[in-house]
Amino acid sequence: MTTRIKKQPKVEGKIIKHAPSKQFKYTDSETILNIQSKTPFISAVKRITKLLKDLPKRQPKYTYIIVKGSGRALERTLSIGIHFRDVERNKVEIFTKTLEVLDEIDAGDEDEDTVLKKRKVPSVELHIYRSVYD
Amino acid sequence: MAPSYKQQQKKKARYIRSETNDKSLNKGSILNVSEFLNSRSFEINELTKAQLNAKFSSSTRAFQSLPRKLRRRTASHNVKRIPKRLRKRALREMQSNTNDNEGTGVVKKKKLPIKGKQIYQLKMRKNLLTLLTAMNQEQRKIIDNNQVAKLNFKNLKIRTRIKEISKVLQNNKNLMKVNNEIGSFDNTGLNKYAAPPVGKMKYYKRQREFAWLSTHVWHAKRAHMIKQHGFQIPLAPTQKIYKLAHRNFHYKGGMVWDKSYFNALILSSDNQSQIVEVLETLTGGKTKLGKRYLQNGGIVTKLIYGSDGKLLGPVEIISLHYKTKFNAVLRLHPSIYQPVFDHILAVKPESVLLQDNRYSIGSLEITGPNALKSLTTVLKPFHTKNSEAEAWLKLANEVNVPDGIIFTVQMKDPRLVNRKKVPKDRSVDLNDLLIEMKTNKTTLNEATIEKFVTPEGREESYRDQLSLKSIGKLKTQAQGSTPINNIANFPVIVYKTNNIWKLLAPWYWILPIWQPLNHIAHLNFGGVIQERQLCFEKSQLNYPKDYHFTRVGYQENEMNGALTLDKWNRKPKSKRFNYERLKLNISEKKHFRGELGDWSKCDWRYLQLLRYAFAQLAAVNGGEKINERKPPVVTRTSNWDQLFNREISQQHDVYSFVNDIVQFEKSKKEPLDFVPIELTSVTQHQVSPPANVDSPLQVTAVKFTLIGNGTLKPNARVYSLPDPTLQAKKPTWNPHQRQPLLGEEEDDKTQIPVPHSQYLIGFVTSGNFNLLAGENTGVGLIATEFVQSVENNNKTVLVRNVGTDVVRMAKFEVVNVV
Repeated sequence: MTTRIKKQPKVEGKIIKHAPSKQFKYTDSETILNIQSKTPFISAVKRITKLLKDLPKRQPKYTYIIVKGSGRALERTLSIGIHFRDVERNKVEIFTKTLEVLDEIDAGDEDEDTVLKKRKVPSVELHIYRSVYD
Repeated sequence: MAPSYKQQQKKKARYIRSETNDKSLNKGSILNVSEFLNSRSFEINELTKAQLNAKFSSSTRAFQSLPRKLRRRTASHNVKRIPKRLRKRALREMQSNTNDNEGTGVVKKKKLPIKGKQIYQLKMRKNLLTLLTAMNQEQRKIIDNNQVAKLNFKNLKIRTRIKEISKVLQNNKNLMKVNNEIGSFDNTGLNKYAAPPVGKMKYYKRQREFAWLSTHVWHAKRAHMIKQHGFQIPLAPTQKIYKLAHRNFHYKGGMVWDKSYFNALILSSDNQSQIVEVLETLTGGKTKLGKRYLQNGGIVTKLIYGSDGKLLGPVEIISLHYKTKFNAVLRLHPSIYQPVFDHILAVKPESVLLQDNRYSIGSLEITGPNALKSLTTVLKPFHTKNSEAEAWLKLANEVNVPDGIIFTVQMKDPRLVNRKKVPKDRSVDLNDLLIEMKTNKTTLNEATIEKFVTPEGREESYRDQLSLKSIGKLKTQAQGSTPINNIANFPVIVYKTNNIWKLLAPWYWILPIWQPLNHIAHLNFGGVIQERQLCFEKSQLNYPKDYHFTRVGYQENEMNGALTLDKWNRKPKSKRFNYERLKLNISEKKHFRGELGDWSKCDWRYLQLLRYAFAQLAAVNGGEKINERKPPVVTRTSNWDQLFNREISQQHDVYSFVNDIVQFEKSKKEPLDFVPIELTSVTQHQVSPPANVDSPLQVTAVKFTLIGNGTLKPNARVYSLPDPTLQAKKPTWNPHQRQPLLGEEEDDKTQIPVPHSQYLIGFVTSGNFNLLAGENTGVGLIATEFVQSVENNNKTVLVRNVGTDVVRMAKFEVVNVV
């Protein structure tokens, strides 16, 4: 079942958007790539290709790398996935998720504390496997 | 005799494993091909491995088994620089090394050429030291700091020195009792300055003028140090670290600094309004402190002003309250500590208590994705059931925590705890936890705050603080199996601002945290230079390096200029660039040649005088700028008014006027007694050029991004666009789609000409290739009147590096100071 994400009501004041919860593991830096809406397409493709190439050397236990994108970067992430599936002929798995992020609302009055609010963001995760031709 | 370590290693390396019991050959005459191949491939693998092993076993030395970041300088030659457990091996390696100059391979003990009187003196000196250090070992007593400061050894002979000291020791009043075996004590000044720490008597002389941090000895072996502002400060690690630091900041691991030289002072009172009054006099009445920052756990960074109303620099204010007491912890750069302390002492009401915590509160700063995880592996809560301790453990592995989060936790001695990583707790919704922490302040413990803020509480935290020797004993007794019970615990304040985790703890607890922290993988330590790098990558101003509008920042700029100039002067004439022969603007070359102002620094006095003189000239000419295309009109020589000031009515007067003053001030050989620039907000009011020679130029902090090719270097000259048509030629800003660059169009292959000096508006304070942005960026200061005059979509300037005549176009953006 899919959960529909409701549009948030507009808030007065400045909003500081915080990144979603993340736990650091050293292997993540060699197996996970996050895509932003401003990440250039070709740079992402090149970086993924490099990660895939180095994977057996650096992280031999892993058979695929994870590419993540959420919100405005959904479309770009998916088009990267399609590129690897159709052009590079890699096995690509696509998973959809919903992320929870924190928004800090600053009403501008310094006598009042800022308020943290939760917001849901659509997100997509690609598993790109090493190509059989490599 | 048992084989030596090296022999064992060599033997191991030369042993090649093979499959003698081959399964494929066992079934009579039938060969099992796949099994046969497997065994052969195994043997080939082993063979190649053995080759490599043999190679490395003979070429690795003892010191190389240490991680690079923990190696010390000259470790390869000096056995004493290697950790004790590896010394034997290192000594053996040195002895067997036949490549040394003498060819004997024997490490000789150096004989000291001392005789009779000198031996006697050394013996006496030894007596002197044992006399003093024995104190804290046995009786748990140390000499009062103030007494040590009074002892003047300078012209005394050793015998007299010993006499003097034993006199002091005999008087019990001069001794302080300490509650631990290593002589830690709380060195706080109440409503007065605290005496600088003495340290171990052996090294007393070295830290009289510049105090040592508690981690000084650790740092001195692994980093370059500088003596500045009353402290010895780590400048940068000896290891090459520029790119590694960049990765640590943003992608992998983390970077940690000992910032104990960042001084703390605490204001406490029963009446909060009194503290607020004091703080608002510091901020010059220009900014109000909202209740958001004054509530318990509120953190804010503000600019502060001295008693003369001049801008001093940034200060971090943390509000920590317990019971009925309100406290404000102020953290300041050591360069501005004294004027602020004196100012507060003068204005504060009597009921407000002012503590000088320079030598009683230490601090660490740590940034990068691994920052909080590293802290939580080293620091384990003493009372695990408390709400703040639970939150600390739940949040342990988190990377993305919002700024402004604060913990006050009582911690165990990090040298004794089991430093296992905190396991992940998947049942916890971290977002809910963060919201709860923010609204209910569950991570603020009043008892811990009281222990941190009061001198008695900090003193108590040192109770039974163990020496390394005792810890070793305890560990051998426990043999790693049973947990060691130790009652030592200390208060810690951990908070996050500007994406950096900051930790405040009693001064003598910083070293016990620092040592285990530096054994965490991918976590490196940094110095002042790394701090500047972090600010630069984020396009933020770094205090004091980029704060040229403050007294300290201005002096630092001047000092750096003098150093560059000195280095340049020491080169042979043929090897140094001649800045005086530089030809810049065509129409100006009749009047002067060479770099604008002093090439070695951001010459603000020159710029301020130039802006003043050109404004005067424009006033005479009815507000018009100089037309460079027309030849300059020279109708007369210089005129002076009745006060012997040069009258500025023609272009050549401007250069002579500026030159007169600059030359005169140079001949005085004294630094300028005022800062020729002043920071102003763009939005405040319309700013005009300097009204007279002594009124400062109004400037704004901006960040630059180059459009197209080129590099951006410190001290680069910044011009406004002289020709409006240049803006039309500006390539549309898209870093990912390469546009034809300036000068690349077919019809116009010429470069942008160097603008007339009347368009000079500022300097780049730091510029470089920015690894985070992936392009050349810089931060600097430019005239506010110019920023106010440009429209929002036209924020373009021209930048020229010192000593070049190539002008580049750059985009600029106003940045917030603090």
